[in-house]
Amino acid sequence: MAERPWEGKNKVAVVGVGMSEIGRMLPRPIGQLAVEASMAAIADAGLKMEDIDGFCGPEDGRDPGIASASLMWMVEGLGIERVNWWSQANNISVGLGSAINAVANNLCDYAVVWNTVRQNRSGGFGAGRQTRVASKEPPKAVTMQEQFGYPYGIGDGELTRYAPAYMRYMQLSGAKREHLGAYSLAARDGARNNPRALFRDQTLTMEDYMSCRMIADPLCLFDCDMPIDGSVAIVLARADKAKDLAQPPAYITAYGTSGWSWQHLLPDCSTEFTIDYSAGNTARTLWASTDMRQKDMDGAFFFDGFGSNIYFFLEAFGFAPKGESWEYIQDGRIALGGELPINTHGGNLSEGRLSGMGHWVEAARQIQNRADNKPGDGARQIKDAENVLLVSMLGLGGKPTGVILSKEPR
Amino acid sequence: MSALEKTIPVPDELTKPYWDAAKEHRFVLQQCTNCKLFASWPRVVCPRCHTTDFAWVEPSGRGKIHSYTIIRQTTRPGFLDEVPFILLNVQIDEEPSCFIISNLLIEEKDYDKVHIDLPVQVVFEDRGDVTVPQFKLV
Repeated sequence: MAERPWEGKNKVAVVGVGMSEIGRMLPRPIGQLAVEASMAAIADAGLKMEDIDGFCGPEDGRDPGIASASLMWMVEGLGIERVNWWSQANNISVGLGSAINAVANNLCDYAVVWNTVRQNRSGGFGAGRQTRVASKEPPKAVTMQEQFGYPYGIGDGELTRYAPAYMRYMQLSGAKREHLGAYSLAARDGARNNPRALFRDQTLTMEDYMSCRMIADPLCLFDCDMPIDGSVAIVLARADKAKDLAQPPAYITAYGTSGWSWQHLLPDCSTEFTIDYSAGNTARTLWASTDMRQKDMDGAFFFDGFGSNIYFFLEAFGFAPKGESWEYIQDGRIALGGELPINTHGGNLSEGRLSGMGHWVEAARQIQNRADNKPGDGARQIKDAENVLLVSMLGLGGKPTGVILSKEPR
Repeated sequence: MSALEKTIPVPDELTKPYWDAAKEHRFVLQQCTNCKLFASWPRVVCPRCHTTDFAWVEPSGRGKIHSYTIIRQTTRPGFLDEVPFILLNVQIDEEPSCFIISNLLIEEKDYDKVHIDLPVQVVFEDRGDVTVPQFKLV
């Protein structure tokens, strides 16, 4: 008996997935991409826009419709009048959790959840807010994280925050750079069979990996995700409304969330706090919600803003003992056909920086037996995938949400 | 050296004592008067005992390297000429739950000798009208 059985178990399913055009600095408004993804997900489920009565999207952003596509922008932009439930999430990972539980509690029948990403136009991720300051003046740091982080070169992309945890991990465990290369290569292999992936046409070898430039030791370029423009959406349905739609339901059979650390200004800087708190609390609450265990998982979809996240997730979720996940991922174990295929679509590293929503699309496709390159070829399909683990965000502003998607109610 | 172009803090009511002390080359931390927690950054409520009285206390300024990275690429103003530089997460000696973000200043940028758990000591870097605490290997 599960330690804390989740009342929403088997009551919600992913029934449709959609993705917009994705690419580097697309010459299109983000709002169009968000609508494209949402309409695609709704059509994929065999539904119409007027069937949707639950909406969950990002918080208000800059230049509505152009550079952002928030919940309010979408509801207004599409002239939607019938809303039974909505939530505007500052982090779509939290939004997904809200939406799942809203559907489970019968607050709506069908909820569409979308997220958009937009590549920063002014250079590195996060550079915008600093370049607003007049160039002859020293940039100013105002908030707590800015005051105690920016003066030291923090803020130029999350990698400066993740890299220290990975450095510590390596020095504690004895892992070498090439060991993480195994993940980057596996992700690229997946992307090669993913028609949506940014890097579908580019091979990656261990020689490429080991000789590429370092960004923030020990993270090299191929450990980092690739900024893009794009939008991803999924449709959630109440289980009793999910059975006769266009796609088989991918039931949500376990749920976990939470995870932060009060000790670190930048929690991602600590190996232990990433594993024990950020990912660890999500793992603890997820496993408490279900009787399923690691051995029941046919695949795993872990948010990989950086490749090193994979180590932390594997240890937090108990697939490998502390300090041993670098050994765990070797010798094809995480590749298609291995014991635990991970991110068969290429992940954020090789599909593109879709903030973990690409992982939802792929996890649902695996359960729905349609992880195809060309329609019906099953090029990325995990054989007999019954249950997969899916964790959508980790770390900086991460607020992870973890679920298990299953072919049958569990 | 482009120290004057580096980001400088804009102290507020809560953080002013920290930056004022730094200007005098003193490293102070906010300490809970009840449970004696040294806070990693200024607080209005103690995250451990949930009381609200703090004092600014001068710890030894010693700690050890919890984690670090060598940043080799940046778009941060003022840091373009600094790469590679070390970003440090220091665990201070007086409080195992207190972690400070800083740079590790090393002459000649001899980074091969850096490792987690090495002891470090606070030093001060003046940037025009502002001083920021930094750390060096002991």
